[in-house]
Amino acid sequence: MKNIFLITLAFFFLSCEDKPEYLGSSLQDQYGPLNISSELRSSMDAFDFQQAYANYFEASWSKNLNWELTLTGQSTGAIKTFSGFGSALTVDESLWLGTANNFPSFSIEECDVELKLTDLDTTVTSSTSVSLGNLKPAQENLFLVTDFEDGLINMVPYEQPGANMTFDLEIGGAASGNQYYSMGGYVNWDYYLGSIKILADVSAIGTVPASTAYLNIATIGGDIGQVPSDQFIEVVCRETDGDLFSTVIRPVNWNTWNLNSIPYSEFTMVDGSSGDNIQDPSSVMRVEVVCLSCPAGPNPINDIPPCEENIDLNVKTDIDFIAFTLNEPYKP
Amino acid sequence: MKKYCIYFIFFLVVNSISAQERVKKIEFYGNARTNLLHQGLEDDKDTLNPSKANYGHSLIDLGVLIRPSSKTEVITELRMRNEFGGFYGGAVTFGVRRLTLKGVINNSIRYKVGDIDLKLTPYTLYNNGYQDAVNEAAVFDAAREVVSYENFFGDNTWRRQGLQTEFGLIIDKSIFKDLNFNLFMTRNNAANPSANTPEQLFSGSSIGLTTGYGHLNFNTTYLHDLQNTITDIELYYNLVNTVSANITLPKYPKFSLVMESGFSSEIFEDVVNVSEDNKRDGFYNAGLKYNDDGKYTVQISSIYTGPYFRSAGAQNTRLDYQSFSQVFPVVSNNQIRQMGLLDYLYNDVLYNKKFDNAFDMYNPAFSNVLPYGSATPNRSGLSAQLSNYQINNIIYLDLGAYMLSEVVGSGTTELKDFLLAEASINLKYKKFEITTGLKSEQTSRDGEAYETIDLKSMLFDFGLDFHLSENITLLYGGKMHLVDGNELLPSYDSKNYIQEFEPITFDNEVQKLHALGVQISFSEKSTLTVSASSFTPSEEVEYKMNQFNVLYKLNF
Repeated sequence: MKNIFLITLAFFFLSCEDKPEYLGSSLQDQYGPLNISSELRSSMDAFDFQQAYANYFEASWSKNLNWELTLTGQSTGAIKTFSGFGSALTVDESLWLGTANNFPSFSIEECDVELKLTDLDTTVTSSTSVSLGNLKPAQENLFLVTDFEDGLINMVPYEQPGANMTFDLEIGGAASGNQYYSMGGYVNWDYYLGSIKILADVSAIGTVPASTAYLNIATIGGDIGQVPSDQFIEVVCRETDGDLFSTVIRPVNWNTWNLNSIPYSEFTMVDGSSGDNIQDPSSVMRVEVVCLSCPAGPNPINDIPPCEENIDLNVKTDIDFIAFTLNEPYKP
Repeated sequence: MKKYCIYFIFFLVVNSISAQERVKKIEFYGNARTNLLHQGLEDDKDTLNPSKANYGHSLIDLGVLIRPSSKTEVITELRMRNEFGGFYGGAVTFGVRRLTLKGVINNSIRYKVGDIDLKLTPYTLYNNGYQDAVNEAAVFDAAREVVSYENFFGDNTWRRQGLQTEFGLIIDKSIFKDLNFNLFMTRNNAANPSANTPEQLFSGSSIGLTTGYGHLNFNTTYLHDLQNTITDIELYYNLVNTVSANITLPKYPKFSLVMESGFSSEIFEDVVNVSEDNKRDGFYNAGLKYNDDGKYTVQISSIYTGPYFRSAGAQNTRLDYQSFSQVFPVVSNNQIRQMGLLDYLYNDVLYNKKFDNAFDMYNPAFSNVLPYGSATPNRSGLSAQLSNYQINNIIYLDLGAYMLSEVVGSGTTELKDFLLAEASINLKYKKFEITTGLKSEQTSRDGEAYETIDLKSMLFDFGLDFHLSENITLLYGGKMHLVDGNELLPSYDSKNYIQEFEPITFDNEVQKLHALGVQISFSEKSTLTVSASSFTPSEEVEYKMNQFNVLYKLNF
């Protein structure tokens, strides 16, 4: 009879495994009250991204939930967001290297910082501010073509005869720094409004596969509702051997600065190239940015019907910060 | 098709008459039933939907037992069913309700092929009982028999399709007496490529060893997908191994130890990513049983079932609580009518006829302590049972109680406590017969406001039969169900892990079902039950249902 006991006991103990603390998701997370136990604060009063120490934010609250931390530059309007799921904000989740989500980049300015915690029926926020000292160091493997901060040196702009043409350098409201190049106007008889040819020297890129080199360009369209249909830009790179490679950003219909990072391998060869037809980013000697849009007509353009809906709508495809990066897109 | 069926039956009848004159190679048996229901809805707020429903059917299940040889039997049950209102055969359906081949090989190995009824232990393969009944009145019992018959619910058995074999060895030693084997393999699911469900088999065995002290059984069930029956994405395996024993104490022969323990393994194999999720857990149920020379038994048991113990063949509910009846599906013009006691007994709600990878949905209002029977996972505690207790051969009493708690908290480290008390009393006095049953459940959990659980429910069954004569009985039956409080119901992901908890609240909801009827027994095999019922789903809900039911049953 003892043996029978031992057999039954053995069957049970064969199955013993570690048990979790509780089953399922935490009720505290699902239905518990949401309150902040430690208010949002920055690791330093002023962030200096040239220094070796870490710049981050801290806070804690009562339950695991989805959180979002938003940093907004008071003068540039640059935005950086962090998000995650948890019950605390530590250096692991909020280490900031000075980058923005997109253009515009941060400048030396005050930043508003807001932490938003949202559960099923409650949203709680906690705020602070931080001032920025030195900005982030230049990104590794960055090869600048132009950021228009030095004006239009080594550049050849051209514009079609048209109305309200704005092919010019603008000051203030740039994607990076203080100046950008405006391209726009109203030409109702041709797709081509104008262009700017920029001499470039990116030979320091060296011999790399074209797929690892990115061409980065900041663009901005017009106000929503005032954007002509099918307004776009074309970027043409001329290499030293006479090769021409181009890409199109189409449409350009956003109203805030936007980073476009295009692997150079995605550029296609342009008719009339006279080189070896091999993409070599280090031999790019000129970058041409062309402003294009479907004309309002009324006459067809090369048998293509016009876009009558574009009547009285001005084209706007402003650009800023043109640069090559290696292995990764630019981080504004 | 219908014509051929009639020819076939005629052929069988003619042959059987001639056959019976020589040897009983063919025998007939069967069940016939007429069930007529007239239901009415009283709903002042409803101006759109019909308030009367009248429907019913007649059917005959003709069983044919054919003996091709002395050691082989073929059993088939042919069904003819005619819905009322389908005149001149317009609503007649034919079908095969059962087809079984069974026999004996070499006078030692029994086998069955086809439709077989299977049961092992409450932790391996067991069809748990109804959750909306506790010692029901005879007027309801008549309807309940119909539900059980239609869904093949026998004595906690599952109707499966497959093969089964049984054989034994007589050892005849002083300690070991004999060894019995019961092996089966059944088809649980057919492959369905469009739903990504592979072919699934359910197999098992029970090896019983009779010793000088008592019985020892090794039980195994295995629900498993078959590889390569579709383009496999995920395969499921659920293996349960248990050992059960019933051992009489040598020095105290009225006492015996009753126990079962074992472990399960539930595996979800990701064929695409070559990985698997394996949950292992175990259980024990060990008790001491006192048997007073067959008069009554008392049993006290200690129970532990791990939170990840999974036994697809035993963790199930009969009623599919997600199903709805098509009788008065909408009330108050646009509200979906919630199902209740009347629907569960009489209407076309669905009952589970097979088990699968996922847990059945349960209703905490009816069963929250042990919704999946004894094998309910994540329970620990004590149980006590008093069975077959008689007082002066007039009162017959069964009592049961469970005092349990969770092993691991649900969404919190606080544990739920459960209390289940159940009593059945039958009283026979002269021409009166009273049947009563009471099941009371309590679930509680302390803690913060969002953790607190306090759920109470009670199911009360009462029946009073008055035997006017030997053949005529007046029947009264009452059922009342109360539930009050709150619970947080778990929702499971595709791998049977609890994800979130949905709050459910009952505000002192009371369902009442009353029935008054008469039962006429034309013979032992033939009864007619006529009843009128009234159903109030809840005082909060402003409608009532009335019903008139004629149920005629004939067994032959």
